[in-house]
Amino acid sequence: MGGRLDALSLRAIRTTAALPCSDARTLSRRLYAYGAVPRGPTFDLDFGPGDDALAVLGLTSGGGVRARLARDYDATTYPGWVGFGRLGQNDSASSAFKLYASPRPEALATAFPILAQVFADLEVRAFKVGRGPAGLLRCDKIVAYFDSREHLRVVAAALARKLAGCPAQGVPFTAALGADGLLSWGIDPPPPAEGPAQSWRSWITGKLADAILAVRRPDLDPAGPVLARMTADGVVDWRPAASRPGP
Amino acid sequence: MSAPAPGLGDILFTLPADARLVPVRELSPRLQARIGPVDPGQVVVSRPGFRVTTRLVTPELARLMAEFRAPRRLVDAVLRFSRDEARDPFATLDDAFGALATLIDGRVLVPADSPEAQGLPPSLAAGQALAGYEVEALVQALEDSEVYRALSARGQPVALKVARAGARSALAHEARVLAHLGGGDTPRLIEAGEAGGRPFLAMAWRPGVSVAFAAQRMRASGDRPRARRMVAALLAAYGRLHAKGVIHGDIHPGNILIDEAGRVTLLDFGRARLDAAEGADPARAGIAHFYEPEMARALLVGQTPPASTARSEQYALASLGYFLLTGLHPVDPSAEHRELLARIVTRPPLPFTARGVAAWPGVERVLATALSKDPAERFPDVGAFAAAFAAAPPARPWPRAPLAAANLLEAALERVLRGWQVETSVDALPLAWLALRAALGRGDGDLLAAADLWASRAGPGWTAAAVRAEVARARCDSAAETEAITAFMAAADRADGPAPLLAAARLLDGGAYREADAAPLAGWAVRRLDRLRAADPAPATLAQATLALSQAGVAPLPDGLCAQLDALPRAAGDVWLWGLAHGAFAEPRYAERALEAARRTRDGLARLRAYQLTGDRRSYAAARRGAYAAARRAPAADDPGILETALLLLELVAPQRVIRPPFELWIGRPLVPPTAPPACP
Repeated sequence: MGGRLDALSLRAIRTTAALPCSDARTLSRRLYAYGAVPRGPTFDLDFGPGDDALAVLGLTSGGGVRARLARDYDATTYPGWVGFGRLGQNDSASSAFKLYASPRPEALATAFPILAQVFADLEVRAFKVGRGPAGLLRCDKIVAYFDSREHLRVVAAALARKLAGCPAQGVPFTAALGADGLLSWGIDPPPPAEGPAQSWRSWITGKLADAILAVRRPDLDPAGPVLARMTADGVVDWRPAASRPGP
Repeated sequence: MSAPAPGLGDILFTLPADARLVPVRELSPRLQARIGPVDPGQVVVSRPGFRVTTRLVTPELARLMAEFRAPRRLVDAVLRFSRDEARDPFATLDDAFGALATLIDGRVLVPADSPEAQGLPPSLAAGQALAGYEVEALVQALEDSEVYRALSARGQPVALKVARAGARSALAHEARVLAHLGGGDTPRLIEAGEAGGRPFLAMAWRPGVSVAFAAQRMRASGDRPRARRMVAALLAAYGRLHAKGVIHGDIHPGNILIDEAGRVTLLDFGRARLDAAEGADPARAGIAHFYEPEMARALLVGQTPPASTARSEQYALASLGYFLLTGLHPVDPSAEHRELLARIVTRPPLPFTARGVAAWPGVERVLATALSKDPAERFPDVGAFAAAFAAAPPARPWPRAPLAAANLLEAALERVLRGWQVETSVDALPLAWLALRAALGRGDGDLLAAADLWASRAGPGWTAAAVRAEVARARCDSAAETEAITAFMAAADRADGPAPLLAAARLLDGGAYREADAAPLAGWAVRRLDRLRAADPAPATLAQATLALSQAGVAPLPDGLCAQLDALPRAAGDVWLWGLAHGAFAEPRYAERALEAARRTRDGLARLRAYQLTGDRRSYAAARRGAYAAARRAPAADDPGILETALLLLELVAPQRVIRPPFELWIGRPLVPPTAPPACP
């Protein structure tokens, strides 16, 4: 293990394990949200409340990004997200592979037009961007969906070239695609026989919370024992160990 | 404003179908905060697509307006209202006549047989042709006209502006102005004429977004040089416009586009003047935030507004420039129209620091000249304003902290981040606060998580609950914020004095951006303020609590508060009190008293507050000297003073954002020691 995202993931485990809390769901939520940029008056003033922040992404009326995406995508808003689905694509097709792009908020005005252009040019079938202040401050603010890992790899390589030097936030508990933490990937677990499907990050943060509660002791750095339990659960380098190797 | 002419008594008036009457209490917390402290029973009247989009009316007037949901004569509506409310109809008519006249003038009440009564649906559909142009999409619908994106017969994109059927139209005048200008900073006129009895004009399509959106993107990127170039380009465009003998007459962000290359396009010349002679202009209108003091003064005293001039446009442009660079208006706006006009007339522009924006002294000086209340004190013309703006020096960063200070701060933050290695600390509350302020200042998620951890260990008192609420807010966790606010109220109920009120005001401040429901806390604060008043506290204490809650938007300013403040002894009150007073009344004498108070104290945060309020660099320098001196004394790592020094060093980096820690509001009492931590954060 090594690299920026791995270090971020370890800090998330250690800090969350120290919280005076024994509720697995609460700990899981804290792990899931770890790495979000704090919301304060400066952000509020510059990005604005609610959907005002769409202007920063160039998605308001007359915006260049909006015009570019309108040619190839349908846009849908739903709580927390603005989703884009490629015109003419079958929505029900499975999209097993997820690419996370994590530019810092202050880099979004520059980075999002590049991301949108690359997604459109390389025919990414669907992607979503966080909506509102909370959506743009979270670390996994931009998620693209792929049917194949080869397609994900091609798009990630193009983004890595075009976004070189972009200030990155980093998504903990995802598999890094590069040292800076800007791009990473994950695979959603297979849908359970019963109950709702889970995303990779909600699945793994649930597992981590259980592991923390199982191993934590006042005199013990929880990181090692927690990682050991994750390995036993088949997770290596924040991805499934061998069943579906990554890009 | 003109009263209804004699004979209007026979006209059936109605509220248009799209008019909305919404009590302030039913607005979202964001909009309530934007409106400020008004009686929650007041009602907002709005119509989508109207230039003057909202206004506040009393509950009584709103009930009278509701009578016009069905078409009625004025007198019939007044009679029905008076009967239902058991009022004297003659007295009601006397009381309401002026307000009804204003609503008719503002086309909030319209003749029942007018097209406006049906609301503002687009009159043309996509694919429909008008004068040989094929409509693609509606861009904007206003009360008198619509703008469509359309295609010419040769497939060229055009902006097609069409007068609404029956509306008084300024399109012929606008076409003359556009033809005179001949393109450049304005869309090139392609054709003007009439189709189906409706005047229209076709202009070359100019891509771009509102200058407000463009500025927002630049601010969100922290790209001040680019924002400055954009404002400079905008001013230069207006300088060229005026040099061609045209006064725009309707300056606001919606009338200015910026394309990807930074090219400016000025729009909407329906109110433009080709004759720059001074005089009165009964038809003058616009967005009130950009009125110059001459116009605001005329409206306040009921005079016909002066015609727009190059000097009045200079003020509007400076106001717009300030707004684009900071995201805020140069004077604190009010939702109440007359109060807004009064503030434009009397209040000087606030320093950027007072709006929480980093100082930019060179630019601020240029804007202040163009924002002079006396037109004679502004630049001679917009060209000179544009040149001065372009030549203003860039903002200089503060000098880097000396090594000892930088090391002290980093050591303190390292201790904060190592919170997971220790179980607890008597310093949990200050550590949580330091972590939160550092997280916000640096945009750092690790520090935010550390703030969360330390706050969870900070005990059950109201100060700890207040910090937990602020941490939850920074984490965008509205459920945790609500939980912490509930805990705050429960703990603060057991505490005496005004300090919890000041903390409550802080938690309520910035409500425009809050997700959590703050209504219970607002109610609690108002009740607590009443309790404080009944206890007959020291005048300065009561004034500070009142001002803080007013700033937070939950309590109106009582009459006579200025007199009470003025009666305080010269040495009374601290910089925080006088800062609040200056924020509420914008009286220079309160800023001066804040500076005096800052000079009396050795408290570095108070000195930074004085800088924030006034832009006084000596106050900043004094705070910096104090912080560096404390750092040079090299306190031991477990010295309690190290956290105080670290916090001051942190706030020195962005002094426009300085705030007082909640535990400093706990005047004269020790911090609540950590006891049993709460169950789950």
